[in-house]
Order: sequence, then structure tokens, then C-alpha cells
Amino acid sequence: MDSEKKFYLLAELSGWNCTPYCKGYGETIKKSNSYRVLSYNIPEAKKHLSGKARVLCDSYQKINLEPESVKDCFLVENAVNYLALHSYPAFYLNPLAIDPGYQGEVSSIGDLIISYKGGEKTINEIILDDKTVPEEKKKEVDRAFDGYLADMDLLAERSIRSLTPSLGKSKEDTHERRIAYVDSIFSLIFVVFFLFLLLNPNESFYALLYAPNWGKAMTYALLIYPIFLFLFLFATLFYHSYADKTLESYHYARKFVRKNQDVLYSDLKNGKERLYDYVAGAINSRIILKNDITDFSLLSTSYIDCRNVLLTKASRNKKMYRTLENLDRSFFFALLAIFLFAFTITLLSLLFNTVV
Amino acid sequence: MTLSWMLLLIAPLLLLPAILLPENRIRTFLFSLIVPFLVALSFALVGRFYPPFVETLGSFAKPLSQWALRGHPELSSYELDFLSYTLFSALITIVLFFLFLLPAAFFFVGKNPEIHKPTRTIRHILKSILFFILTYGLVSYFLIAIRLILPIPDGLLSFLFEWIHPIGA
Repeated sequence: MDSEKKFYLLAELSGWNCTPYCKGYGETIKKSNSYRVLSYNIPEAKKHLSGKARVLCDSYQKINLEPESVKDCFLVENAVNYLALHSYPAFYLNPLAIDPGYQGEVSSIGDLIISYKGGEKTINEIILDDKTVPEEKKKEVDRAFDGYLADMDLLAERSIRSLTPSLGKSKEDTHERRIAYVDSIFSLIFVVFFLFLLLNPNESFYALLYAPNWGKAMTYALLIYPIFLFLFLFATLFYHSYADKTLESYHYARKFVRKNQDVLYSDLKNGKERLYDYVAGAINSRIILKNDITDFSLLSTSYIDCRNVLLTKASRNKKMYRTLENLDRSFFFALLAIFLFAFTITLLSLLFNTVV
Repeated sequence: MTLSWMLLLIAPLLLLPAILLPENRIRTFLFSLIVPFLVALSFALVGRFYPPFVETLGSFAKPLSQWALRGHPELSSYELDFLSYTLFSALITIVLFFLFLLPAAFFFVGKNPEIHKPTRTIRHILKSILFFILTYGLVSYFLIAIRLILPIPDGLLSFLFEWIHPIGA
């Protein structure tokens, strides 16, 4: 902020209306280096599930680029500068919540930047710090790791919230289960009816199979029903098998969480302890850390895959998933109509002892 | 349509879940299928090598399958007993499958799909093959065994049906 704007800020605080002087300041912010850096780093931050990355992205979204007062200009500029400085992965990555396949610019836990004695330092710098005793360093590191654990706990809690019925089952989940039940029950009814048609010892029915009489409704029932039954079974088996495959982590986690929530949290805590022991060992022996950024990830290798659970909704919106679901629905309703037709015709034929 | 074609068409239907289903789900189905499969196998073996048992159980179960057998005067008494016996064993197999499936689907948690992926892939393939063998094996066996009362001819695989189940050929 230049001295002119500082003057207007002072004037505004003294009660003057300085709104006209902040017009167009949004454009100035947009052109600033800080904003450019921030905009460049945000797409990478969006890929991560850590709490700090989410706060960064949320804050970026909330930046008001149309300030209405000089005070707002001042606040926005400071916010952009602060966010730009903290938009690098070293600031927001959480080694407990990092993607196990991460291959970014931060290669080691030692490169992560944490709060240290009122400032910010990388863990490797803390390890090599000669001016502080190891116990004090470990205390600072432990405090930072408690933050990582709290972040991971929150992530697990969000996953569990989407899994546990008592905490509110999602609409998609209920919809998917309803389709599964309806498909299973009706598949059984459709197949049983097919077997009935096949095994029913009615010579008139059999005759139509070998010499179709297109003037008889039963002919259509006998010939069309099996074709649509096959198509429906194919579609429904394809859809449900694919859905099971796509949502594998979600289904597993839902069953796991039903009984083992405590185990999940104690596993996260143990993970944090292992990370602390690892870094404490490095502090004691003054060895800097290298190539270990994903070694303590609990995102997928824990009891449940929090990342996949949280991405379930996105999986359900995949084109293939939606196509198969629609195909399943289409064949279901087509077969249901043909079933009702065939069932009525068969019933009438059996009741009146003649082929309708 | 022949029985051979029907069996060939059923194969892709069961191959789909065998290939696509995740390991945990395959395990649930395998758990539910093993006992029914063994029961069906026992019925089949006993039926093959100990005819008096077929006659006894077939006569006992005849009221259940009467609706399907009454229109086949051409069949001998033993054939009717055998078909009744087969339909009864199919019913037992299906009931057992659902009896095992319900608790398995509810209580079986499985393993985290994200860990030990390389070794689990091999196990998954083996389990998928086993799943296909069990499901397709059961469906094929019962259809072949009751082919005498099916209104469709055996078709190109009749020699195989004859080998699997020679009765009434």
C-alpha cells in the first residue's frame, strides 16, 4: 500500500468518506505478485485434504476483490500477502493426511514448515538448530504434530459422518441401497417366473416355442420375455458389480466403522506417535530427514480410506456409473412391463385352459 | 434356443460379477456358496452312485415337484424320482445360499481394499475363478440334470451333458 492510500486510510478512520479512492483497487490486487503466486498455487492446494489446505482454498474463495472502504483494501492486501506466503505445500501439507502417491515439490517431512518459538521453521532447520536443547525442540515438534493429528481426526470424523446412518445417511446412499434391494427382489421374481414358464408342463405353451403363432399373445410373452430378462440381468449385474467396484472403499469403511470407530482413532494416534518417535530420533542424532514425506500417511493405509470415502459422491457422478444406472433402470421398467403382460397372459391361459 | 445356447448365454452373466466385483464382496459370496455347493455336490454324487437314496428321497420330495413333473408321462418311475430328487436338492441349495448370505452380508467386514494390493490381486483372481466355477457350476449342473423336463433340445453340447449326467439321454 502506497503512502497515498495510507493517508486515505487515516482520513477514513477520522470519519471522512474515502470510498471513491478505493475503486479499482481490486484490479491492483489482482495484478500484484502475491495474488499471482496465490492463484498459481491454489490448484495444487485443492488436491490435498489437509485442514490447512482447505482453509487456504476457502480463504482464497472468500477474498473480496471489490473493497468498499480503504480499510477493506488494507485488509484484503494483507490477507492476499499472508495467503500467498502460506500457499506453498511446505506450509499446508500434513504428513498424516498426505496422498500416499504424492510426488510433489516437498519430498521430506524435514521440509515441512511448522510454528517454532513464535516464528516458522522447517523441521530440518529445527533439527540442526544449535541454540535450543533437544527436549525443547521435541516439545515444539510434538505440539505441531498434535495439530496434524487433530487435522487427521477431523478428516476421519468427516468420513465417518458420511458413513454412519445415525449421523445422517446421504440421499445417494439411500437411493443406491433402494435400487439394490428392488433389483434383487425383482430379479428373483423375474427368474422364478422364467423357470415357471420353462418347467410348466403345458403342451400348448411348448408348441408355441417351436411353431410361433403370431396371432396369440402368449407367443410374444414366451419369446420376448426371455430376451428382455437376459438384457435386464446383464444390465443389472453390470451396474451393481461396477458400483460395488467403484465404491469398494466406501462400503468397506461403512461396515468397519459400524463396530470399530475407537480402533480407527487409536490407529491415527499411534500413527502420530510413530511420526513423533521418528522425528525425535532425528533430533537426538541431528540427522536431517530425506525422501519420507509419504511414509507416515494414514489416509489410505489406515483401517479405512478417508480419501476415497470423501470422494464417493464424485465417483457416483462418473459418466460410466450414471450410464449403467440409467441402463439398469431402463431395462428394469421395460422388463417389468413385459413381465406384467406375460404374467397376465399366462394366468389367463391357465385359468381358461386355453392359449390366449 | 437350445440348452447349450442357454448355458453359453448364462456364462457372461456370471462372468460379469466374477470380474467386476471387489474382493470383499466376492468373499462374502464365496462364504455363502461353499456350503450349498458342497451339499449340492453331495446330492449329485450320492445320486450318481447310490440309486436307492434317489428313489427314497425322490418319492419323499415328489409332492413339491409334482407341478413340473405331471405333464411328462413318457418318463420312467426312476427318472421321475431322480428329477424330483434334483429339484429338491436345487431348492435346498438355494435356501442354504440365502441362509448363509444374509448373515455374511451383514456381519462380514472384509479387509481394507487399499492395503497389500499386489498380493491381494493374485488372491482376487483366484477367488474370482472360484466364484465363477461355483456359481456357473451349480446353475449348469441343475439345468443339465433337469433337461429331461425342459421344453428345449440339448443342442451342440449334448455329448457333454451326456458325460456330466447320462440319465435319460
